[in-house]
Amino acid sequence: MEKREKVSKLLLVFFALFFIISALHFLSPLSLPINSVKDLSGLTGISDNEVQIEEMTFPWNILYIIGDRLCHQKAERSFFLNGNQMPFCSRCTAIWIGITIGLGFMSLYKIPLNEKFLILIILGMVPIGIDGGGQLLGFWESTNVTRVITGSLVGIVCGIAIGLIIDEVMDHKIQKNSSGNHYIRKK
Amino acid sequence: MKGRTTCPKCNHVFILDTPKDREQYKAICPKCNCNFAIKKTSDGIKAEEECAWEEHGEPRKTILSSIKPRTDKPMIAAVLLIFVFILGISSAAFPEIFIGSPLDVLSNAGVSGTVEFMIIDQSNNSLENVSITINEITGKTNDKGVYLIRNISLGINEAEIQITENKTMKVEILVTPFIKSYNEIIVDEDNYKFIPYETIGCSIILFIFSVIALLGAVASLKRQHIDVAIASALLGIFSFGFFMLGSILSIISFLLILRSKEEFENGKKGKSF
Repeated sequence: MEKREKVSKLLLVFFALFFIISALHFLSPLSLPINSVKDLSGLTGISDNEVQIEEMTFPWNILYIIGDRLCHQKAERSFFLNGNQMPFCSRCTAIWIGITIGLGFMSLYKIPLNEKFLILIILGMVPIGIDGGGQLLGFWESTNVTRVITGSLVGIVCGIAIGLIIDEVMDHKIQKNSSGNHYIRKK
Repeated sequence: MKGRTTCPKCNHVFILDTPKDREQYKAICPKCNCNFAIKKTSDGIKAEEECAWEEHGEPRKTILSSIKPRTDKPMIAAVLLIFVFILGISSAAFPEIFIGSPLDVLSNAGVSGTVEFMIIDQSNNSLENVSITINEITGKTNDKGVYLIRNISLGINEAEIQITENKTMKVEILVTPFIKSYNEIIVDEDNYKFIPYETIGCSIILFIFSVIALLGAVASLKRQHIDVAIASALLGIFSFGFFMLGSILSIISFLLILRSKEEFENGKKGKSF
């Protein structure tokens, strides 16, 4: 791991995008009227809160529309801010924030892709696998704290992975360009 | 100590075993029976008339990289993993299609599902004779507040529940094959709380597995870090994709990576000398 001398623009774009999404997680419920979003419980893949979302103002409704489709939004598994349910469940919220942290870290530091990354993958995947898998199979009901911890771990690893992919793609592009120059160099 | 020497008379090269502590040794050529003295050259003594000898121990193991033709397997695995990524991301972004499409196919093939409703009030008392309608089939809850309906088409269905004479609620339920869809509705005086049957988690988890699969594609393209490539292909299985295509492609790429592991560099199993 080494500190970056120059930050990749593509990496910054990704970081900015995820940062905005993460910020909207908090800004949306804070900006809506108090106690206006009480229960969004539903199914993943179904827009089952269209009526409630239609009453929300732009841009605070954006994340609620996305959350309605991508997340189950169970009220008992979600955080409430300003008396309003957050647009994603606690685990999803932690994952989004984790990805932002991972990308932010990769914007500052450079990590080479090697076998050590396997340890990171295991550290990120195993806790959420055990916690989420056990809950899905009905062995236990996890708490919001464990959901946040496991979600943020996997999110950070995912953010670092996105950063690594961007680095590898950019490095490959630079190498390709430099090798291209080598061939056209005059003797 | 074993050594090799050359006869100064007939130039015959032969091996002889000398005592370890002796600096000088009289050798006899097995071919021409010529007697000559040998001495260690490492002492720094220039023995012009004496024959130099060199150490000859056990046959040395020479590590050479075997030249094997580079196959397209890692490249194919990388392309497949890129497809896994695209499928996974699409499934994460459009979960309704991801859930609905395979269920529609099964439904058309004649597979149906079972739905169970449990209607209770806030004090956990079961509500009897609550009318529930799904797919134009109407029934009522029993004394335990339970209504079980079989042979319901798979996928997302709308259920209409007549709580009171004037109060009706509509909920969307997911019907899956082989597993009973259990839905709970808690009714109070003014409102109700619907606890739907949920078989899958949030779709963002598919996004994470897809990103890991893409990382495996990068490792395979570079033909480096076999461990990362294998782990990523395995984790890519959980990206599922439409009709489980992502899982199938991940398994294929995992097998391709395993079969071409000698082509990967810098890994534990690679050509690192």
